[in-house]
Parts: sequence; C-alpha cells; structure tokens
Amino acid sequence: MVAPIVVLYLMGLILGFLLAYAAKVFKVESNPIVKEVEEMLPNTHCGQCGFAGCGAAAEAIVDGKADPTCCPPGGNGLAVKLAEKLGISLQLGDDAENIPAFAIINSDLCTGCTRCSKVCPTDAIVGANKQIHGVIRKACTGCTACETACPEDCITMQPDPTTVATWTWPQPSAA
Amino acid sequence: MFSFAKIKGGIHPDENKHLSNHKPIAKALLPDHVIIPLSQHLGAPANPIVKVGDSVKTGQVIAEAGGFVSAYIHSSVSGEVKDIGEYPVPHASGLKNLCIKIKRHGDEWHYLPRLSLESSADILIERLREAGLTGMGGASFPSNIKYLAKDKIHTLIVNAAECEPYITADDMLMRERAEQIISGIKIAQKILKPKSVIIGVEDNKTEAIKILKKALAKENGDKSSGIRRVWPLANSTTFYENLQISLAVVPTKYPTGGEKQLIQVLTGVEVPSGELPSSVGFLCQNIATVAAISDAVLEGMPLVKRIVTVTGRAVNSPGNFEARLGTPLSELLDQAGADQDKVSRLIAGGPMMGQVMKTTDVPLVKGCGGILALNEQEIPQAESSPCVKCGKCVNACPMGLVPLEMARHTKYKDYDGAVDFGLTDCILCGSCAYVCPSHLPLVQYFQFAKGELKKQSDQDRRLDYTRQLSEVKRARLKKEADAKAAAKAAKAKKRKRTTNPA
Ligand code: SF4
Ligand code: SF4
Repeated sequence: MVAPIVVLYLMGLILGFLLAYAAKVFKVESNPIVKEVEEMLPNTHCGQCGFAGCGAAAEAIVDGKADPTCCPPGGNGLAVKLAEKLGISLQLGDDAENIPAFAIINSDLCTGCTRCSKVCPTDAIVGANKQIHGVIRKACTGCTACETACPEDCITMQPDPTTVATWTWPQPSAA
Repeated sequence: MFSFAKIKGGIHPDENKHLSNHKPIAKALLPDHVIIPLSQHLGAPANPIVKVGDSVKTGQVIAEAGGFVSAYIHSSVSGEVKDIGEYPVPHASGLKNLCIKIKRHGDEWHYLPRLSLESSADILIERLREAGLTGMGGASFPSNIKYLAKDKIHTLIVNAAECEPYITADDMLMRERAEQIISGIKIAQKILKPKSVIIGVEDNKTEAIKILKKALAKENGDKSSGIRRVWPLANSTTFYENLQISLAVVPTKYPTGGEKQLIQVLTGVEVPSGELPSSVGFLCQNIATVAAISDAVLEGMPLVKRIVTVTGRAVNSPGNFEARLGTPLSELLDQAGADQDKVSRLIAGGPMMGQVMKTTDVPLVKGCGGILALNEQEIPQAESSPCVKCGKCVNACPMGLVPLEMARHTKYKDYDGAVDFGLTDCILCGSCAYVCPSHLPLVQYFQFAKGELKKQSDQDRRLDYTRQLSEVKRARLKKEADAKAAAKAAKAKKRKRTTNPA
C-alpha cells in the first residue's frame, strides 16, 4: 500500500527536477515574440526592408531597430497589426508612398534567359527558356529581385494603375 | 399580422419632385451611338463576345456574365460595334472603364422567346439571368442571384418608396404602367411563393397610389372587398390589403426607401447588422425592376432601356425619359433642355446618394434613375467648421449609428475605432451630413474610411496569397535539391558497383 505512493512521489520529484534541468539546458535563445512576428510577415524573404529575409526583419522590428512600417508588401495593414502586437505607437506613412509596385518586363528587350523567374520568391514570372517572360500581377510583391537579376535591364517596377475597381475615396480635406 | 414601426432618424429634405412629375414619360430619341459599360452591376465585369466590326441587333447579347455574381449585357440599339475600349463611366472616381461602343443603324430587335406564368421557377430565374436584369434602384445587384434564395423568402417587398428628392421615375412608372407592374409581381410570386407581397409607397405620390389601388382591386376581381384599408393611421402608415398583394402607404421621410428601412417600417422586423434581408425571409425589389421582369418574361425583352428622370433647375423642361442604356447623358440633357451655362453640378442618381459627374459624356446605365443638372442656388455652399458635438447627426441617422464619432476616428486614421461606432452598417445615406450645422463632409469621411478598410483587407489577402506561393516555391526548390543529391548519390553508388567487380 505504501510502496506505490512512495514510488509515485519519487517519480514525481525526479521528473520535476528533470524538467527543470531540461528547461535550463535546452533554453530557446530566440524570443518567442520574434517567431510570432516572423509568422505575420509575408515570409517571401524579398529583402525590400533591407534585412536578410523575414526572420532578420522580425528580429529587428522586435528589437526596435526597424519600424513596423518597413515592409512594403505588408503595407499599412500589416504595420498596424505589428504595432498592435508589440504595443508600440505608429507613424503611418502617407498612403501614396505605399502604393504597391509591380514588375513589368519590356518584351522588346527580354531574351528569355529565365534569370528573373529563378529569383522570384513567389513564382510570379512565367515563361519558358528563350521566350519572352511575363509577370502575374496578382502574385508579384514588388520585391525588385528580378529587376536586379535581369542582365538586359528590361524589368522596371511600376505602381499598379488605379482603376474603377481599385479606386477608393480620397480623404476629405475639411475640418 | 403586420406591425408598424417608424424608421429611426431620417430627414425631410426639399422634395423638388414637382419639377418633373407632371409630364408623361417621353420616349428619348434614339442616340447616334451608345457606349455600354461592361461593369454596370455589382460583381465581376461582363466579358465581351463581339468584335469590332460585328453588326448587332437591339437585345442581342454583347457580353456574357464574367462570374457567378455578374450580369449579361445586351446591345441597346442595332448597328455596328465600333470599339471596345476605355470610356468615361458614371462612377464617383471619374475614371474610364471598359465599354463597347456601338454606332446605331436603325432599330432592329432580337427578342428572347416569350415565357409565361406557366413556366417553372427555375426557368424564370434563368430568364432573369439571360435578360441581364439587375436591381434598378441603384445598387445594381444581379436579380437572378437574389431569387436563388427563393426558399428562404416569406415576404416580397416591392420598393416604390422613391425617397430621393427630385427623382420621379418610379412615380411615373406606377401611374402609367400599373398593369405591367402587377404582372411583374405575379412572376416574382411564381418564383418565390411568398406568403405576402407588400408594395411600399411614400404618401407623397397620391396619383400613383390611386392608380395602383384601382389596378389591385381589379386584379382581385371584386371591387368592394378587393382592397381594404386595414390599418387606418397607425403610426400614420395606411395599409391596403387584398388577398395577394398589399399596398402600404408610408409617411414620406428620407431614407424610407433604404432596403432595411423599408422592411422595418412595413413589418417592424429589423434586418440584423451585416446580414441580407433574405436572412430574415425578405426579398426587397425596386418597382422598376419588377416592371422589367415582366418585360423580360412575357415579352422576351432583355434589359436595354429604362426610365430616367432628367431634372434640376438648370434644365428648362425637366421630365422622365424612357431611354436606351448607353445613351450619353449629354443627349438626354439636351432633350430636356439643359442650359449648360447654368449647370453648377451634374449628378448621376439622386441628390442624396448620387455621384457627381465631371463630364456629360458618360452613358446611362442600368442602375441610374436620375440625372440632375443643378444650378448654383441648389447646391449648398457653406464652408465646414469643427464639430460642435450637437448630436444632430446621431438623431438623423436611420441606422442608429454615431456619425460624429465615426468621423472623428476616421480623421485620426483609426478605422477600427470608426467601425466600433457603426461604420460597417453605414448606408451612406447622407442624412447626418444634411443636418450637420458644421457642414462636415461626413459621408466623404465614411466613404474614405470604407475604402481604406477595403484596401487593407485586399492587401491582407494578397499577403496570404504571396506567402503561400513562396512556401510552395521553397518546398519545390528543396525537393529539387534533394532529388539532385539523391541522384548524385545513386550515381556514385553505381560507379562504385561497376568498378568493384574488376
Ligand atoms: S450616412 Fe451613414 S452615418 Fe450618416 S446618417 Fe446615413 S447611415 Fe447614418
Ligand atoms: S451634426 Fe455635425 S456638428 Fe453636430 S455632432 Fe454631428 S458632426 Fe458634430
């Protein structure tokens, strides 16, 4: 009768110490909030923020080295969410700066070398070898990776033109 | 059976309906060319199925529905397709959009086969789709989609409130085509099998009410019991009932013609926030659409024309015109004798919810019931000043929202804060701005905030999409790399094996 109680008691004690020990030894170095922020970022590792990938950017944002507005593909929407998560105040940029840009390939110059489609993090560029390549707007984050990779200098970044479908009302100027 | 509630808030702007409601509906001259936008409805734009140079007949399909929520577009004249390209459209942005331009030669029709009340509900709904019917009260929601919810509907509400000042198109329609309206209602009844049908009319349309009453009495076949006044002056709403179709005369007050407002005033039921009327069993249909349903089914006539009020004090002989869709507004204004020098503001739609147009080159579309050419005296000129927190806007709001707080949060770009005070429910009716002593552009604040929220959610969606794409790409690259490594290893092993036996 007494034996099981003692055994269980001892087991509990030993396992408890083991757990405490494990927590010390295998302590995760990174801040869990960094992981969460990283998950909120686009994870396309496009580098437009100036950091090497979304992980590095997440760290910088959490450390306060980068502004939550630093991610162009995320835009103001993401910035607001990041600021909320981190409990920091936010200076939103003018929306005009935030218009998403898209890669446009000049079909007169394109040789179909496929270098651009290889570097595109979202596979937004389509086209076979030796054929003119095109950009799928919906999938392009405007990260400029292709612009840099193109040996013919035929890719430019252009903002998406406003259409009846995308137009929204301007801010009223009054009082 | 019915309980009456007053709408919350609301306002009594100058009606100005007398300008245009004393002349019969005139047939507008057929235009020399029409410009037909491919996006006249809520949902995806239609896809053109004609080419430049094709000859088309009036009523022929020129663009097919571009998705589930979309609508067919038909040529409104017979002639030759001249261009498929960007033209100015009646949109608040003033931007151009894809249109089909047709040069008119005569007016030769292409009809759909006629159907009758004997046809099945499914065939009738399909007909609404083929005929390109959309709500003609302003929102332009594709009609067939509305009727697909038929099993949920217990009450059909025919919206003849026409609460926007100046506009008299529905009024004149009721006066001149009561029979057509009733046959349209019968078709809707056939599809929906509702327990009751109520036509809601504001009490300022005395002539139309008289005519509708007579038509309904005849419909019932028995003059004495055909139409009864069952609810004398309860909340000043008068109710006329016959066995199938009731007529409810409601007090004139803007915006009683709002879908949710009309349902509330007629039945006392409040449509929950963020829900469609069908969620509580109602289908609300504008009366002009009901008349168009009759044409589409019984005459096989697609939606290629509509009645539009051309009015305002910069117009010399205001009135209602039955005009082909795609007719440039400039031609309609000419026919109503607009004095270009006097026009200070041109509006497509009503003065409360219509949109200001920068040019008269835009075409008439399915949802446009009014063209207003206003002179200088008719438009408010006051400068806006800071909010004095008088609360008048709160009392005027028919949705029970807090406009001053919505505007304040919007000003500080706190759109979620604006949502907390009701932004999502705002129907942009303009009642708050109408009563505001500080003349704040409240509606523009709400339009702006709604737009910002839409942009944000679009961007979020894109973000999710591109995130997925990049995950897929990384997974693929990894797989390729693994496969390469495996192939290399296999090759090395093979080489080893081939060299070993020697
Ligand atoms: S515009 Fe919106 S906030 Fe103003 S009264 Fe109408 S529903 Fe209310
Ligand atoms: S009506 Fe105008 S001034 Fe009065 S509380 Fe509303 S926004 Fe402010």
